[in-house]
Amino acid sequence: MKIFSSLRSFASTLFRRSRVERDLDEELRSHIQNRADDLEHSGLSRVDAERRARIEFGGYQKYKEEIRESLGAHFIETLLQDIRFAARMLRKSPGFTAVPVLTLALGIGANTAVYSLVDELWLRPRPVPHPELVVRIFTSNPTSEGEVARGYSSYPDFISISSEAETLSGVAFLQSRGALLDTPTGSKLVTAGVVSDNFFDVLAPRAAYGQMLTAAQAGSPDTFAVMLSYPFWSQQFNADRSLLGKTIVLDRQPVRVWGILPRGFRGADSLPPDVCIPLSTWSQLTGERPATLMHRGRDDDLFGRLRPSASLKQANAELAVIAERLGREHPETNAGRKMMLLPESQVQGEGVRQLSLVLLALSGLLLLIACANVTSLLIARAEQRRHELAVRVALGAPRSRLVRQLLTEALLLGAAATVAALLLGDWLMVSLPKILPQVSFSAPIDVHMTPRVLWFSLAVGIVSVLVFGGMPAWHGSQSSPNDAVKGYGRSGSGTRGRTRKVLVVAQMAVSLVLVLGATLLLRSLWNAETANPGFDAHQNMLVMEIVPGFKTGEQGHTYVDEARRRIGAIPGVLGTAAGLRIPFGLSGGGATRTVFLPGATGAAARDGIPVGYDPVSDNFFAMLGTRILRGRPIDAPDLQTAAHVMVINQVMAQRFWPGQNPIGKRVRLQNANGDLYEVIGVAENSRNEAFIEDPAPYLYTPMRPSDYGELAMVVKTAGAPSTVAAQVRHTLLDLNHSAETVYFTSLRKQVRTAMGDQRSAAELTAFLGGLGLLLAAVGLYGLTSLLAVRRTHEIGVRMALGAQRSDIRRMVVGQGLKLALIGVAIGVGGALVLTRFLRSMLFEVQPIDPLTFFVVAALLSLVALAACYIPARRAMRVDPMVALRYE
Amino acid sequence: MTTQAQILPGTLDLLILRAVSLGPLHGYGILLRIGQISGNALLIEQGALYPGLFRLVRQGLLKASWGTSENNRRAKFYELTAAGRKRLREETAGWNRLAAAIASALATQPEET
Repeated sequence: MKIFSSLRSFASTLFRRSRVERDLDEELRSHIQNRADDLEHSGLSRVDAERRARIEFGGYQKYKEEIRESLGAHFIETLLQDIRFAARMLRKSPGFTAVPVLTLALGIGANTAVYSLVDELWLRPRPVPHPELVVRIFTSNPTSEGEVARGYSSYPDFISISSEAETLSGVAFLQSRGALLDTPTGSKLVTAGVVSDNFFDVLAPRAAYGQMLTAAQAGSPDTFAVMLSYPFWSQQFNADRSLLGKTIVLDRQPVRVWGILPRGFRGADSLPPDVCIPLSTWSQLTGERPATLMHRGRDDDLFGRLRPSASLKQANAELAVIAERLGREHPETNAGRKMMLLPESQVQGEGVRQLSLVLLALSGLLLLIACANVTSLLIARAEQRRHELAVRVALGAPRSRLVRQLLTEALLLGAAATVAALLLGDWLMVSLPKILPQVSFSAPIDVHMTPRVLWFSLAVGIVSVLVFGGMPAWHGSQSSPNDAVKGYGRSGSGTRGRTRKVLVVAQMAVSLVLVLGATLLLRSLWNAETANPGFDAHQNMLVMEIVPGFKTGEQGHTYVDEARRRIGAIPGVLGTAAGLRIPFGLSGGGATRTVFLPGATGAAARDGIPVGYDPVSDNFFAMLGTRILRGRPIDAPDLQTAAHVMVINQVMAQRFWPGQNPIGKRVRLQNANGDLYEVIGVAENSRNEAFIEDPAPYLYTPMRPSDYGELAMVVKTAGAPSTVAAQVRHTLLDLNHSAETVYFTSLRKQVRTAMGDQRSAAELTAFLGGLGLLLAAVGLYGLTSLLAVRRTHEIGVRMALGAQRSDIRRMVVGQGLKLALIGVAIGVGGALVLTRFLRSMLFEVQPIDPLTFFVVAALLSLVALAACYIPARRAMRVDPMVALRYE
Repeated sequence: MTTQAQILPGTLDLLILRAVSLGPLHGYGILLRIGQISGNALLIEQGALYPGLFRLVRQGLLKASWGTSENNRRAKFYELTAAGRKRLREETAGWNRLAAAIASALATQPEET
């Protein structure tokens, strides 16, 4: 209750100040009047009585002040006073104010930018109600090496779980497909998420604009509509609000835009599909019916919502029961498969967690360096004002008041810096993607200023103020009146000088760690870019993915043959090839064929081993530049006769037939009674999805009519791919309008996009590292200058006694460099401990790589040398006569 | 005039609580009452009363409300809260214990068991 009363009195004082004042006056005055009355009754005159009463009362103002202070309003008034004073002081020396503000703005701005990125990628929960209840359901893929627990599920599985799971209030699926959008500039392949009709009911996001598609609406035959993702809508349609309710043309048919999904909404990966198409609409669009989905195999991502009353354990137990039952009832598809669910937040975060933490750590280090700079500056400033502060102490100001004053100045600096950082950051976020479209992640990440980012900035600003303001404030308050008398002595020694030296050493150490981390990541990037991907990534080649509208496989077969023939005839084209997928293509490398090895036992014999696969045309390996190490590649006769042959990669050869020659060996594909395929060649390992991936077993078969669902083509060109791009496109268009869906780019660009994530990470860390180094160098320069200036008198004496200018230079440089080298040494020590956290992000680089350490340490030492050299040169040129007289 | 002892700081609060315990009073009334119950043996500067009163209100031991005084003036009256009553009891007991102990110490003759 004590707290309530004091809060109440504080609040009432604050808001009804004049009323409280008046009441107080009235109370005290009436006391005096009462006393005067009594005194008058005892015989004094009115005038005397009142005078006596006032004297007896004591110091009227003093007591009023005491009461006011106890009421707490005092604090606010002095705070306002402090703020006004601080603002005046800062305005008086604008040059001095600008430097810390800019330094801090850089530090805070960098942190804000990194945080907004991390928030978008990792931290921010989905814009759905109760995101903690959203789960992902996975079906396992039994392999001989162990369980791949997080596999896709099938449509029949979805139906079963949906109807049986009691612990889940709803189950929905999402399939990643593609569709063709008609735009004024041509056709564009967009990513489409085919979702169950109840998808938006289960997840329940709120539409950013327009409306959400309910299950009923989606299922109704009259609604032929889709939802667009926010980044896609703002990029493709410039966030045109009038698009809502209108139609766009997908796969040659007009569909209505029902609404825009909220920002931050994601599909199964970190990016939302460009359009979300409910199953009913998709069926009308493509002719695919749920029956088709039944047989498509497994490529559904299942989402669910846990009932609030159920726990994860209960839900998992229930799923295990369902999975087991399905395994019994449908052994050919479900035997031995397990199902499990995980919270969506856990699945989401794992991929980017490491990178996010590293980026946050690095930007935090940068902030520390910036704060150290500002602290140093403020200490120097406080020293200049020692006289003024000492006088105030002598006049009776309590030290706490001085501390408060100095902290208020720091607060103003911090506030100005935070505002500057926010403005700068906002501008950067908006304009960078336009200026440098490459400098973004491989697909549009929607980075923007959100309230969370704003609060984060403010928090960072406050923390930095406390960090950099605390020490100078405390130092300043230690001024004793003695200092005022002594005048502006020399205090390069003493606690203040030592503090600044410590700060500089710390700065160098931190910036070493920063630069080292950045260098390791850059080297990793370099290694990844120059590593052999198993195909010629630098050649002139057009790649295209076609989502065709063939009704039968025969049509597709004819189309591809004819297309290749015609394109091959275009001047400048050196060759063509086709396949189901190409490296780093849109559809990734996710399809597998189950391989049954004759003579295998156990699970491998019963369930087979899934191996990544690609049906390809003749000329495929030659075109891509993937070497055939043994045997021969797939050729035209194989295609014509639909031969049961296959080419395998090195990993598959090693794993299935270790130590033997795999040529001639046979396996069955798809099921234990499937056709026998003979190995005719071994190709080198190639990377298909991410650069940092361990090569997995892979096999290639000749394309067959049943393989012409989706396909990719490559066209090798003599000159730059763009020269023949238009002609190739027209050829395809002329050939078949319904297969006009093409995704066109050059191989080089494709690979670059795939590397986008890594490149962005490396670029960011390089930026942070460079900035940190710059700030540390500036700090070192500042301190060395200061120390040199302080020793001006001493320099004069030395010169008079015969020291050469070079001696002076060496002395100054030596002083600064010594500090820097100590910092570097400490930094190396710290880095030895810290870089191991980067291990999983590094590609072919050791966390403790002696060469990198050495180079970075040498680099920092050189920079330190340069930073010390300039003041040294100045000191060198001092006129001894002036120096001797310097006080 | 009887010698008046300087009031010890901290005991002022106790006296205020005691004065108010006998019935709600305004500031001047409290002053008079303290004079009464102490037989005018205690001296306080009158204005010093008020910071004490505000402090006790903030601590939740007194409750203040505006009313009319006996000469029809608007005045602020103070009265004890439950917490204040409890504090008064505790402080009185403590004070009595202290006084008894000191008195006994002062009265003890040397070499007396």
